[in-house]
Amino acid sequence: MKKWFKTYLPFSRATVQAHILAYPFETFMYFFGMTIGIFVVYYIWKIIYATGGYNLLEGFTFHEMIVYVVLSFAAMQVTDNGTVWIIADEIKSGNIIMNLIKPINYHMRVFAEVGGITGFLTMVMIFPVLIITILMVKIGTPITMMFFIFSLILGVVISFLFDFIFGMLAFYVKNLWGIGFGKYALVRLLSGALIPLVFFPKPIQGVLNVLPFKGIIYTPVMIFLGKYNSEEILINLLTQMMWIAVLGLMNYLFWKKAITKLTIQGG
Amino acid sequence: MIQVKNVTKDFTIYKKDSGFKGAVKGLFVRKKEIIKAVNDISFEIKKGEIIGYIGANGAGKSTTIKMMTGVLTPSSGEITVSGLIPHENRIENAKHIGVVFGQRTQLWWDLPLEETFTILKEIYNVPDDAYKERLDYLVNLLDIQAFIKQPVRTLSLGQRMRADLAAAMLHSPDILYLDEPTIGLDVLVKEKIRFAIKDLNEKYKVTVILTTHDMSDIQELATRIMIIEKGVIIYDGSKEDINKRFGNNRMLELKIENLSETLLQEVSVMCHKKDKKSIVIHEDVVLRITFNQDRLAVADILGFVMSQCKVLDFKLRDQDIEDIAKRLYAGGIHEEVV
Repeated sequence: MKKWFKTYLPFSRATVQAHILAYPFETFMYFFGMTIGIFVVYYIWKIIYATGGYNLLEGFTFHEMIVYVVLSFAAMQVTDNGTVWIIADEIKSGNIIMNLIKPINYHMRVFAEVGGITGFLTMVMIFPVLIITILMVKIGTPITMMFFIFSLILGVVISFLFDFIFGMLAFYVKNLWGIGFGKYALVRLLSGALIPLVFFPKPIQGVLNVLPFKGIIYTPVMIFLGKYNSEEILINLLTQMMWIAVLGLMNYLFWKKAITKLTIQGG
Repeated sequence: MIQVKNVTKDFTIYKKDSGFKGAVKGLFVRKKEIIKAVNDISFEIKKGEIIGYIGANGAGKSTTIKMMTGVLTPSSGEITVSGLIPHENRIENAKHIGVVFGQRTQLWWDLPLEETFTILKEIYNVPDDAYKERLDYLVNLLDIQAFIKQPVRTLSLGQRMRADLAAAMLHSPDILYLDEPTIGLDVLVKEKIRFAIKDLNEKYKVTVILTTHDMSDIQELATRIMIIEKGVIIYDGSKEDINKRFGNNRMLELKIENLSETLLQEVSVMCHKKDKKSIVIHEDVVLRITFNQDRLAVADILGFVMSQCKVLDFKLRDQDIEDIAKRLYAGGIHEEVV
């Protein structure tokens, strides 16, 4: 374990370092874009609740809905971390070779890099958002907070593994642009980043419950909001873990097959 | 140290027709074509050798190297490097090799060069004292000190290439794969890189596999030459033997007063009588004759030409690897060999 950290932590460190050194403005704009997004959605919900005269919409008070919006936005930033583009770009440019000649596991290295950025963004952006949210709404006991964080980490891993499978498609299709955006839209919708999943018709909800996307955003946020009892928390965490195992296995098999198909483009 | 046995690598490419119509058509039907980038090659490399691996663009050099590093999987055949099968033990194999691809870099683009070295130290698990000693040696050898604190993206190509070579050697690998390490560099930097490769080879017995299009790299460094053409190794031997293999050719250049068509004809006939493969060409007043000296003596040509006209100047030159490479790349050498 210690050796693992020693090997892969440098990748996290280097990525964060390069990110701060080279793109301070981008980091700021990222935060700026997120804030605007949150405001837009805030006002949409405000109008919906006001014009409809709802006190409770599918079990959400206006207050809870706003917490949902803020948190799902933050969770989306943490979980949607550009893994697809990193992998697709390295395969497409052939630069993947510079990593394959090193004594490192490719998945682990990408995860370390993505994790580095995610961790950094969490520190400078998500934490403040989270703390403000907690102070404002005063929901969630320390225990649910712990479950929330744990569930969110599982969500990050699910998202990473899913993205990685998508990125590996670049071995077969040489341009992932369209597919990547399709995936982004799909994940946003099915993970609950746009609207809470309870707004979907019942049969569709049943399907979404068994798909992995729910575990990326909806599950952690619902735990934070205290919408789950302890049994539901347990079931949801187990579902997340099951998906990590399944996606992990799929990654392993896909990678093993895809790597033999590798052609290094451009010399 | 390295054994390559009957290795073949196929690539499947999908052909599309040109133009918009072709592009649309390509969405539905694709023509499949299999290309043998490397076709049944075998060789063995011993510790401490410096292999000059040459061939035209697309001949299969890089593909061979990528298979030896474990990045590509051979379609058939066997490769073992220090007892390991590279593509099955990529990570283990990677610990013992250093690789430089002249067209790419393994340095962290946005970080100071020094940082890249520290990161590599951790990735390869190099102990502190060994790292310090090694870094000092490489920094001196490749003259890196002046720009070690600069971000990599600000380095010139020559600086970057030296840094890349240092990065590839930090963990003291036994084998160094260099794929066109001198591409696009000026003469002085080339010199420096060559000196470094030589020094590493002499001091640490590093085995070097070098591909390049610069024949002076080969001339200065290689202890053995392998030539690949269209995926097939057509020469594997010493620098000295290469002339025997590709004909003991020489080139005679004559500057002649009043060079006429008839004279050209006569010289041509005379040369062809003894050496059917001799080539006689002319440029303005210069007559250039390439011939095999086992069949045709210089004295004969000179005597004949001088009896016919006034020779102002002449030059005689042995064929060097450059000439062989030129003929090779032009595709002319194959039938001579077979």
